[in-house]
Amino acid sequence: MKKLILIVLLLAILVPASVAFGAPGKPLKIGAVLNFTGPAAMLGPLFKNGIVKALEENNNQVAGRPIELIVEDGATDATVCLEKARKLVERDKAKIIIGPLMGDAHLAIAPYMANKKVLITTLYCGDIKLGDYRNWLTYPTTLVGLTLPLGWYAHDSGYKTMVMITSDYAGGHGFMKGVRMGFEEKRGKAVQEVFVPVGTADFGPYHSTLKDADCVAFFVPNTAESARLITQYREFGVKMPLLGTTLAADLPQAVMEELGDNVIGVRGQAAYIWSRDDPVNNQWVEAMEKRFGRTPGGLENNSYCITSAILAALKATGGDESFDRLWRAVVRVQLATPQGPLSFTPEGIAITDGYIVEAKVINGKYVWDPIKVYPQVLDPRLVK
Amino acid sequence: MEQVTINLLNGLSYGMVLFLIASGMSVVMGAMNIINLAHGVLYMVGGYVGWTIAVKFGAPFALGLLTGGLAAGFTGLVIERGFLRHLYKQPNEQVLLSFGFVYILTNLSLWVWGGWPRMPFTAKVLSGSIEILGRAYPKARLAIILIGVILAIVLWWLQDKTRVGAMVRAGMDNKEMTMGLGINLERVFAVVFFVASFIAGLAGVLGAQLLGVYNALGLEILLLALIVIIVGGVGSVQGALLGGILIGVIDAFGRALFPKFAMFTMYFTMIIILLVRPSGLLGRRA
Repeated sequence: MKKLILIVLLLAILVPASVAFGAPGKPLKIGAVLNFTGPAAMLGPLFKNGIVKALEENNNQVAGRPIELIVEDGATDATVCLEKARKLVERDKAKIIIGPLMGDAHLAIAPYMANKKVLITTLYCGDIKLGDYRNWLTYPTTLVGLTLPLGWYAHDSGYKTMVMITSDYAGGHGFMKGVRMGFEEKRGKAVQEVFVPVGTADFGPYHSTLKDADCVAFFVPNTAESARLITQYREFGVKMPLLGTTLAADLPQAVMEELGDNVIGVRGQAAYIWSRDDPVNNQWVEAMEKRFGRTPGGLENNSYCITSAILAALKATGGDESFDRLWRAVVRVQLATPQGPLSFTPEGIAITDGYIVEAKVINGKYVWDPIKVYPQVLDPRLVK
Repeated sequence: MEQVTINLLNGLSYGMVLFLIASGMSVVMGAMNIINLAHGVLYMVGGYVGWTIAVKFGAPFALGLLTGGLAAGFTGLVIERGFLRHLYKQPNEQVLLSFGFVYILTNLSLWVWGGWPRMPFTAKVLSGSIEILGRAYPKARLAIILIGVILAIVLWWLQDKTRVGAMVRAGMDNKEMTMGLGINLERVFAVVFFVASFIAGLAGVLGAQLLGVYNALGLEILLLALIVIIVGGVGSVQGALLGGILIGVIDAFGRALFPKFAMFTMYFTMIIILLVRPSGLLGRRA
């Protein structure tokens, strides 16, 4: 009897104490496949910063459940990305995965992730077909949706004809398809499309064969190629206005400074601009600079917004990460983000603002200055 | 006419960069029977060091060229003296070891210079363009052609007209006999490896005028160097020069005339050469 009383007394002390201190729920695991090695090695840490910031703003917990972030190196390789994603799902039991970045990795992973009912995200656009799986969040929009505003802008600038330089792979075709769709929708005409291989070292031979047009639009897939294309375009004295895609992400401020006068006057599409004057953005930029010691760019913004959307959905489900509930919640999320208003289509494709920027020197700094906004852009194929 | 001229110049400038990267590798393969797959990253090391000197510290471009070459030269010397000299006549081990250095040096460069690519840079006097047949053409590319021609003459002279060159050629033909004549072939080979690596570093800085520098460059440039060596033939400076120019010019015209097939033109050339002359255009026959 004495023992029983002792147990009751102990329980009387321990149970309220545990309630008072807020007994932690089961840890909620979020996996991330980012690139820390390989050709896109410089991007992984930036994407990670965005995720970490979003989690820290929520004290690394949601609905009383502590969040455990498990980051894997995708090595800029689709096969490695698939292996790491499988590890996150099977060994770590993660039901939410952020990344990977590259389109080939999306295609490699998609059937497996759909089968396992894992909520997964892109980091920088994705093919519209990912929407068919209904477990992908495609941010900031589809490949076409991202660059559509550049086609509109070219027309709005009075250009009637366009030459297109397109990196010859699925992503390149997707991005430039958006520019073409936007331009042709407004009755502009693409007079030449030059396909260049991924990893092109010398753009000189292409620049020397460009037809006369009102403007030249381009997409090449990374910083090194974008910089070479612009430098060599200037060196060869091509005078047609140059319109680029994914500019602010590919050519951050430090790279612009090295490009110097060559980059001045280049205009184009950007998903996010740190210098955009908006209270939410200003506050976030300041917080990111304080936390990581550098001005954030589109990559940090993307992973931050994606993570914030997932956390908002988890709050709505009370921390329940079971796929069906989480998916229903996440596609209903509406947030004011540093990039602008964010919402999703039922297919999980983000609806965001599209920006047009121009390279300028402002107060001695090279910046992408926002010159036009196309609000809440949606891939027109989704409307149909 | 002007398009043919411009593309010929484009091909020559690109070809000269390919020649410089391939010449050292080819001579090392021919003279020392060493397959050094780290040759591409030596090019990258040269480019990064040249960038640091010429862009970050604002020193003259010529100093960037020299330090880039020296950095690659000494890195190559460490690889040869410390590791590869223990692996003569062991091609599999050479391939594995030198490929390991590709990863080591690539990751070291990632640590030192970060992941962001460094932009194309050149001397102030070489920036901008001049007019050729009514079209702007970059001065830096003309400088690459000129420097490439000068280096080709120097390397040819070193290989064919000097005592060291004669020792190297003798060593290529019969190593044991050459050593039997009292020539310290190991020392000669160390010098050859240093010079080959130095040229790779020099090419890294020269090539940075076209390509910039980034840490995937080591592997990308290695592939191109191997194509040039296969086309030109192993073991001769003249072969590397011919291979480099041929690949450069074919690549430039391929991109201009058949942009959709640009990726295949140089590989197609390589296949044809392999079928017609398996030892390359000017390769030393066994």
